Amino acid sequence: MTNKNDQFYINKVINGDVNAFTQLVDDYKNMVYTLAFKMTKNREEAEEVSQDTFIKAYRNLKNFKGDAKFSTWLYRIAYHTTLDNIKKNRKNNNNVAINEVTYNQISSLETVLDKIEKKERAEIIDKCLLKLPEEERAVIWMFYYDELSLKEILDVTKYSETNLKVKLYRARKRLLTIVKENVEPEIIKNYGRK
Amino acid sequence: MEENKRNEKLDSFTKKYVKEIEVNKTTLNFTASVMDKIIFENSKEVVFQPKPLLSKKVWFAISVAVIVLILVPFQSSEKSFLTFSKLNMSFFNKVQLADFLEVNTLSNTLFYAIFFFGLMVIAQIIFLKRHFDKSYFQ
Repeated sequence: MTNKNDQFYINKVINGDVNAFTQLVDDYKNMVYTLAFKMTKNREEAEEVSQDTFIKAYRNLKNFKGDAKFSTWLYRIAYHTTLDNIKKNRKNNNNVAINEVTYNQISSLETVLDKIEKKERAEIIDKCLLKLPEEERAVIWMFYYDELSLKEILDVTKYSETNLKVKLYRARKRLLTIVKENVEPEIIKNYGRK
Repeated sequence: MEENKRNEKLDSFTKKYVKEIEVNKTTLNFTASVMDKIIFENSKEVVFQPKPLLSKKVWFAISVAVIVLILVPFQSSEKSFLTFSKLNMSFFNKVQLADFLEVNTLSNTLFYAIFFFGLMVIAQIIFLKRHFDKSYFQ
């Protein structure tokens, strides 16, 4: 299941070539760091957690069976290391209420967002994403950005299938609520300028 | 039906905009820092690998020997396995150990002195063990 290229470097590391691990770090550092940052919302913390993730991965590389993708296996270590770190320094309390929205409201919000420049829009969505509770943020990121399948996310998070589906459903709705709350004042402000 | 349509719309909305977010990038020396830590850990393992004084096999052999020594005398029916009776233990009579250990001969001061001395020795063993553990494992 794992990428042939990854397996080549994994075998080299297992056979004692420590430097071969550099390639694996280079290939996956941004993936791990982005997940850690999305969950911790702090660059220094994310960097530290990402380093810990790779060190744990190196120590346990012999236990990597190769029946799942190396990236999923690494994701699992990163997710749990970050979650442990968050629990240790618990300071985030993201409790944005979920509002019910209609199909037409989603469409009109989409129309408004499409009028914003792509880079600015990405920044707005990123800021809104960071306002979600950390576990919802992580599943949204894994499912929509990294396009992990539900099965892979279950493997990473160890949630039950129902729990994961509920989390994803809530996360989508909460994100929409946050985007709506953040975009509307922006639109009013822009109209005021004109 | 309406609910499904709305959920699908919400799904496509999330996919469309989340995908536009840019990946966060690590600092430039990230890989070097990770590799430094790994190499440092490996070198620590080579320099000092803690090993127990007695291996599991030795502990197993000792346990078996102790169990055999305890159980075998009870198993043998007529004759005692360890024939202590045949040993000449009369030299014990010459050693006046009982008199020496008699509490009356020890003054209270001496008793407390021995007691606290023992206590301090035990405390030092614990303190020294921690001290050496720290210097080896850090």
